Amino acid sequence: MDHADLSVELCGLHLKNPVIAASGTFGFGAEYAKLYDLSILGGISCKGLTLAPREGNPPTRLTGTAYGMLNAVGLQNPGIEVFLQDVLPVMKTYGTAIIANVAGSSVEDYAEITAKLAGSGVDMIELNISCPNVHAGGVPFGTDPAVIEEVTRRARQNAGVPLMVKLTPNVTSIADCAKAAEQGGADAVSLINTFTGMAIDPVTRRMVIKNKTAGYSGPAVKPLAVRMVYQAARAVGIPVVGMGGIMTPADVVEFMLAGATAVMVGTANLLDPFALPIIIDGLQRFCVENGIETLRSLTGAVRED
Amino acid sequence: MNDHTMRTALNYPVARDTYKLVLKGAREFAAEAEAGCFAHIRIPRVLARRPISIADADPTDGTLTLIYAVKGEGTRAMSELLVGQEVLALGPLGKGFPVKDYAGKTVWLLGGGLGVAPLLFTARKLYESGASVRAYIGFKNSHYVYGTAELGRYADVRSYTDDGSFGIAGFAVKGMLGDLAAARPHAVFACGPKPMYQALAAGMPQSIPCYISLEERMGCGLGACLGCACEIRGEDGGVHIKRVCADGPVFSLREVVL
Repeated sequence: MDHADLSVELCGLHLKNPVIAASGTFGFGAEYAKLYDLSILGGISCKGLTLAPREGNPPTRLTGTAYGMLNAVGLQNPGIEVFLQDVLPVMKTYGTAIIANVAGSSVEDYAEITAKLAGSGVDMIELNISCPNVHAGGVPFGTDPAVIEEVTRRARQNAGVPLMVKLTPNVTSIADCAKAAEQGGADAVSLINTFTGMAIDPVTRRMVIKNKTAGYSGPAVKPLAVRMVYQAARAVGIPVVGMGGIMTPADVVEFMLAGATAVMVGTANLLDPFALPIIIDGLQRFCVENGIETLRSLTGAVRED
Repeated sequence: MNDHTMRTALNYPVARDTYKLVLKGAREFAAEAEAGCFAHIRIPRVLARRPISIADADPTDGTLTLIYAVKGEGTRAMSELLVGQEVLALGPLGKGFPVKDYAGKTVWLLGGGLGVAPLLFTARKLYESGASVRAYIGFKNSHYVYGTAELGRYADVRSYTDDGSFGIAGFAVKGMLGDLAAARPHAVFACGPKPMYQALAAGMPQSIPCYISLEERMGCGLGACLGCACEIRGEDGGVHIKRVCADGPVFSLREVVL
């Protein structure tokens, strides 16, 4: 065998491989399209979209730590109308699955934005109910299973395409949250979003990030993410898209064994803009070297003997 | 623009906590590099890249020169790079100083501390375009002074230190503003700390265009992640977020919210 089948099926969508660019690290693809052919990707989840344009948080928005990264960009985006008119037509030319990541601050926001995306040509919608920087009534959206179910149900009624719900790891039971999304009619869940973190400069005694709290991502969170993907995959019957600190082809395999149907890669793009092509190439090599004919056969295939 | 594999040719301290890294294999990078642009550097065993301004780039011998301050773990590891070790340099990135607009004209450079580094390359580019260059550079004290000899080849250099241990005592920006009575440049290009920009904004006549280079913690360096934000005053009077890496790092002084 000199060539493995890397393709996966996600909610009826055929992806060339399981590697999807994670929302928030890839913009709308334009910057990376200058570096390589985006049609090699399994998909792109675009920067989080809101009904109205958002300027995002004031600087400083981002900082590195020893094994990860903190960010509080604050959902800076041009708004759904500009996306539909100017951005999506360009993204459709990239030859890969386009996932619209959407965010809001109320259940109505999610229902409205998914209605606007119906019939737009996006392949899938990802509900970002877990952005730790946008709060609804002071409570982070998406940590309460009852709210998750409600927001999913309302969005599901309007979305004409598969609906995926992106879960926050800042909860006691990820399984309960995944079940709530399934109960609300989600076609898939994706996890994890970032952990809520904080950094303080010991010399200036100031918060490093202007927003004070920030989302923590990168290789440091990978074992936590693998555990949560495993728990979520056992709790629900819908596909799980796994992410959290993926840097290498072996990391992709690890998430798939834990139960992921596909994966998203985020922080790695910021460390190496060629991370996705390198990981996809490496997956092919990994499969050939290990006699794996179809990569999708690995989903949930962790051995527990 | 590409991610270039380069080899360490030289890496040594030029001042206190300040190192010069000369990389080989930068022919393509150097040919594209413009004054004020930067390289996003990845070194072995360090996770996040570090955006470092270009202190010199020479396409004839294929070298890229970076001057950096050792501040944290990443730059500490950078200071330990040995001759022959590989680094990845993404770039050249960003929008630099408008050197071409001032060919044959008079430009004053203003640099503070590590901000002097990109001005070394800028001075050479201006000199080669026939501009007349004067440089006001400031450092904390004599231990931190570097680059005066390189700068002296292309510019009339006025050095300052906060305590007078090297050059003139006081801030470079005050010296520049004081000299306005005797002469005026067509433009000022500056790189340094925020208080320096605030003093420049307060004292420089509106009629003289000033360009400043901003520093911010960066993610992708390409403009995709929106991590390195700065606040820019728009023509509508409103404040808007711009990307330091892709819309800058050089901006017009008057539009930046300092």
